[in-house]
Amino acid sequence: MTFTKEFSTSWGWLPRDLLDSILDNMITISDYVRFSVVCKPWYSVAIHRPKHWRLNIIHDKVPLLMLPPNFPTSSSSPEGTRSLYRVTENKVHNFKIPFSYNKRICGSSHGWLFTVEENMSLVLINPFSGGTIRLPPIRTIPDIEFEEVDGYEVVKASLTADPILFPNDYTVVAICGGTNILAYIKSGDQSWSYVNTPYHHWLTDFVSYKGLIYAVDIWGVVLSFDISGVEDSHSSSPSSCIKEVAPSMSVMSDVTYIVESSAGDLMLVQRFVVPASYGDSHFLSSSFRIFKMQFGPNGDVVEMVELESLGGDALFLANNFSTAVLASDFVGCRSNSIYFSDHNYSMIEHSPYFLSHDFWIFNFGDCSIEILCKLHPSPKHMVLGTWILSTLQGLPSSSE
Amino acid sequence: MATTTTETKMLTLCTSDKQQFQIEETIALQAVTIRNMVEDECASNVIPLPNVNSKIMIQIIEYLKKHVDSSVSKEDMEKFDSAFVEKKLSEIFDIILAANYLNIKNLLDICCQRVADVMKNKSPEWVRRTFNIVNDFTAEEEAKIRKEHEWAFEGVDED
Repeated sequence: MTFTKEFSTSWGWLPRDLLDSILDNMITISDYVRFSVVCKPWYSVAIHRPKHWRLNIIHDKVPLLMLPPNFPTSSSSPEGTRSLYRVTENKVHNFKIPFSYNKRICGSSHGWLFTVEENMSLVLINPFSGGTIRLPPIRTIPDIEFEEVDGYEVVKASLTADPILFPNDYTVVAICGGTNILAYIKSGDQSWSYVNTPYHHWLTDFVSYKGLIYAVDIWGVVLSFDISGVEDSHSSSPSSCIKEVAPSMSVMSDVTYIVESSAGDLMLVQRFVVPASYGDSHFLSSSFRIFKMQFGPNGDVVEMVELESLGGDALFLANNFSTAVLASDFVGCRSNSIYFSDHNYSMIEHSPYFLSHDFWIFNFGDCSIEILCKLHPSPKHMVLGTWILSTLQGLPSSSE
Repeated sequence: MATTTTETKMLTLCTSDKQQFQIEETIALQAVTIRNMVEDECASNVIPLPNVNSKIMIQIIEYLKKHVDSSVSKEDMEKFDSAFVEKKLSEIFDIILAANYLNIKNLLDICCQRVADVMKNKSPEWVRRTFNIVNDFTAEEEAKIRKEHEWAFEGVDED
């Protein structure tokens, strides 16, 4: 690239508020980090961004795929580290993150990964910051001792906010396997609170949405939980905080997810496991139906509108993580597509079909499916790879 | 007090290189700085704009004329805007400064968006070369920031 004398203008010393306006238009955390390293004036502007802005950009919205420990890559991972795969670029990073656990990750939220210890205590680890949060044991069924922790006691756990940004104002929410219990613990609490659903729900997924927790069960029943007002009740909370907002779906799916679209709508995603062939091997593939929930004034879902297209959105789904992004904001991200990982289908464990542990892209337009990343089967048929949102390490936090 | 009149009122803008531009008041008043000057009656018939040269003024007037036209659909306006910012970065730089001085928020926004888009997925080295920016970090300082966010520097576009 050549320069003309005419190019005497000084981008480096553009007034602060104008550099701020440029940063306002950046979407990915990587662009923001690279902006900060161009020159000192830009660095200074970047680290003085107001908190509300950093909140939006602090996590890259497109997750990275953290690969299992045994995944072969061009550069070998040192013991106790994991490789990251950027799906939008089909590229494994040379950069490794420290994560020594070799067990199922039951949650991935705001850059934090969740695992369950032998005594049913939940551990949150942020491989980017090196932070660890140890939570007390979950006691959903107090009298029963767990003979063997297999990783599925906690179906899914998630955070309502990032503990790095809101150390005194976050809540960890978990749904427990084989039970109809939603457990939560607020920052600073000494023990978990439990909400028993009065129904025979088998909760499979939940999302924090507009101040409430929305959970979905295998029949597609949607429940809302208002856990904000419940204080100091460490036993079973009154069920008045639960509300059934949508009845069961007419067709039952194998897995049901609940996820917020990039435009802020709540979507129910039904996944159906279907036998398929890929080359010579037979395996269990997936198809999807997606419904947009239309809420009435009293908070009930008045209509489930089936979508024929995701529009510009790309969905990322797994049993421990789900998110939606506007694909056009991210280079290489496919719109109207679902990036997903396989589940542990315990009910079909002995089927003749190869039980896949891979990550896939489903084209919601023509219903075609293609493999994104092939992983080795693991003990207990666990998917050891996981989506993870990258976070800023050494977080700039000078001004509010 | 602004005067009320039904006839088309014209304003004369005088740029830094002493060029005069006669434009309709409704067009010029989209620039908040000009509107304030007119409302505060601190401008006579000729409004001096010492921070804007005629070359940039012509482009800004083109933008303002389009945006005052309420018959243009939202879609067409977006098309116009995205075509408008397809300029050399040196011109964008001048327009950003002028739009900031004249306080034309939309114009500033689309230009800043363009700059952010240019930098999308590019390495800092590429940005320095393209924007002609001197790297004033020491090698140690730069290495330290990069080390903290190593993952952000992989997968950028080829220079």
